[in-house]
Amino acid sequence: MKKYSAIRFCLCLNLLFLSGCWDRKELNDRAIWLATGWDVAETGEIEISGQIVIPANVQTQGGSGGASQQGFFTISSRGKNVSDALQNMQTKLPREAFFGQRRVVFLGEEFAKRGLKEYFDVNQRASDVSLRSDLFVVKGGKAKDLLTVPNPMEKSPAVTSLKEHRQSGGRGDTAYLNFLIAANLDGIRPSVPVMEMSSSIEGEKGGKVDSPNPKVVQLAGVTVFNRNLKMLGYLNNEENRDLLWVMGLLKKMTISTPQSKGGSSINLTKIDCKIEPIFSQKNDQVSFKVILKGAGALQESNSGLDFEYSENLKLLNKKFEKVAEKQVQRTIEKVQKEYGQDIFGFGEAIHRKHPIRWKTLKDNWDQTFPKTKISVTAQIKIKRIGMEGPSVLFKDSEIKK
Amino acid sequence: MKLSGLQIFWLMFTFETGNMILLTVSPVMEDAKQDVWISYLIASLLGVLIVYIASKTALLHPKQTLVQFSRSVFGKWIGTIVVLVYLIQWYSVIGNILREFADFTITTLLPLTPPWTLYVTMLLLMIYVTYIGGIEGIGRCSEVFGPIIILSIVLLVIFSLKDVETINLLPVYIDTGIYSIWKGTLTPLAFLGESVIILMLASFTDDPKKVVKSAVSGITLAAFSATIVALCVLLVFGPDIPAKLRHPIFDVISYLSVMDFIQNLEILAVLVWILSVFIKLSLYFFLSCYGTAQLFKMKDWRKMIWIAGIFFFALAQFFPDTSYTFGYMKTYWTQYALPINMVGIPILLWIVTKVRKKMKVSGTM
Repeated sequence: MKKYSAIRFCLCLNLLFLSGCWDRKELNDRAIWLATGWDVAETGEIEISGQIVIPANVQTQGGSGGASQQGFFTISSRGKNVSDALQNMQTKLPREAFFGQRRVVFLGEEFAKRGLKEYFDVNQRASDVSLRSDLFVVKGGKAKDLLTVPNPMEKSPAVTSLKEHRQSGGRGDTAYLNFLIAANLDGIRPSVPVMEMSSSIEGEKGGKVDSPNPKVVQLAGVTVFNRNLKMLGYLNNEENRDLLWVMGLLKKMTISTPQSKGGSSINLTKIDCKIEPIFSQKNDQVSFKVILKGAGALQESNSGLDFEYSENLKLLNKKFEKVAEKQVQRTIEKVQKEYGQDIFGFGEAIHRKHPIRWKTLKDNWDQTFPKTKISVTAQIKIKRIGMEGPSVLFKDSEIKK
Repeated sequence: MKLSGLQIFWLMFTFETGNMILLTVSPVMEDAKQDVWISYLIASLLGVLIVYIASKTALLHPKQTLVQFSRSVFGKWIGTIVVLVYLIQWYSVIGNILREFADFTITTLLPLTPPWTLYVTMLLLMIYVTYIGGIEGIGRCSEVFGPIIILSIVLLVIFSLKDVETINLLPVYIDTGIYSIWKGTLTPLAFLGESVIILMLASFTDDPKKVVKSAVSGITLAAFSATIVALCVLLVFGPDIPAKLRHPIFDVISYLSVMDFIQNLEILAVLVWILSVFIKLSLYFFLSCYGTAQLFKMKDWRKMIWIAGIFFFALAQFFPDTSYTFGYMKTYWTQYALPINMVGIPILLWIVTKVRKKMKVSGTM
């Protein structure tokens, strides 16, 4: 075996040259990119803005306190498309942008209206960008402005909006995947959540970050997109929740009955929805039955009903059901009338349950959907009533048993 | 050089799984859409059948490799042609896999590294394991790597459970139909059919009784893993997006997010995949060297390693671009290698051997 020792030595020598130093990337050569903003620049080009972590200012708790500085900064530049804009951006960014931690994408209103189809490919062609990402349209503004709004609780606007989205029971970081899936299907149109700039105290103009009433970013409903991935318009927060409920994506929600009839609220935590397509026998017209299901804990009831009696619970269940049915029905009708786009996925319900009939329906679905009859029924159950039977504010004589 | 039954099992599993999971999901989804699992199940059944026939055939000729017994079965000339058909497959696939390996690693991990460094590193590893250990060395490696691959697949399935949407399975069959499902079946079947290399491997075993059992169960496990993974991709992403991605499983892994802190696992997945590719490449490397040496009756098959190593390097460099490797898989591999090398010849070998044995028996009576 001695004769091979020279070969072995050569093989070992190779290790010195071949141990992958081509792509050495130090952490301090990288700019960690948290969120991307897409806008249309005044010149008509694309403007890309990014939110980048300032590593020195992102301290863990218990560090040298005092007036801490911002943990991020925002940078933007324009170009023909994203890659061009990024190349232009790199001229003022000392480190290479790293997209592996990007979790949020903001679209300026104008950009969303212009349509995404011609610009959005870059997100998936790059290997380091994950499909897990949140997606927002910025209502009445530019994404780059929203990316400059910090939040006193969080390190950056990106984290803020992600957490707000999750706390409100919405899609969270699956929004981008949801958008892509909807863009690929015939029976559902994409809908994208909305963020807007607002102030921490309602009705007053927001001040600086360290003032008691700082500017904040706020979840503001959802947008409707059409087949060509162009934005058509907005729905508000309440309608957004109805939409998510019908889509089966909602995680939590509070329903309140009107104050005049003894205002009560339930916090739904087990939420589900079933869409049943029904075909009439005469002319094969399709209509839908939506069955909303929800269960949760009673939050408040200002009515004097004693909930230790099951009749009272049933009564309240009925009231909640009525409110939910009305609300969701109104939202569906509004979408049908104003936008005519099936963002709920009724078409997909036919596709999955009656695939053969769907083949004839799918080409004209945009025309069929606005004229389709949709009825909503709700089944709501109060699972827990909280720490009191009747309200403690009512006298014995006022309590209805 | 001796292989135990267990080594054949892990060899078969490791050799199939990595590339099959990475490369087949997207083309199958393109054809079979949400019925991708039906395609994989059919492919699994047929794949197991292929390896069963191949290992049975190999056992009819104990202690002989394909190169030796094909000439005794078909005669000198046809036998040599049969061997050449296999050698073409083995030689060409190594260049292709090397290319694919470098392409994928560069895209995901090392964007600035020139491809030839990756070819050279991988080739050196292959040469090392083949030269020092031969088939036994590769078998032992696969005994270590196989369980790692299984573990990663199990973890992948567990981690993706919370993102699963069972509704993605519907509607079954109506959207695609039998033709699309069958078209989808061909790609994974062409990968599972590679298990015909058992025709060569069976001669190295120390316990011929176990060959059929270990080979079949190894392929079954590989087919099962690939089916589960394809199902996983379908349930998380639905049928339309993965069909357009080149490596959907990579995107599923980068999509995973467990409790917001287990994220960006794709790099680990690439490393596990490289383990499998290493086994696959070394196995083909060994087969082409050993087969060629036997064909030309060389005394020391190890001498072939040096010639082949240089040849494969040149071949990998020669593949012009990505669409070519894709075309290789779509045309040569599924349209020629599958019906001829994986189905046709093993069945022919089996039938002719049986007939000859019968004739011999009746002749002596």
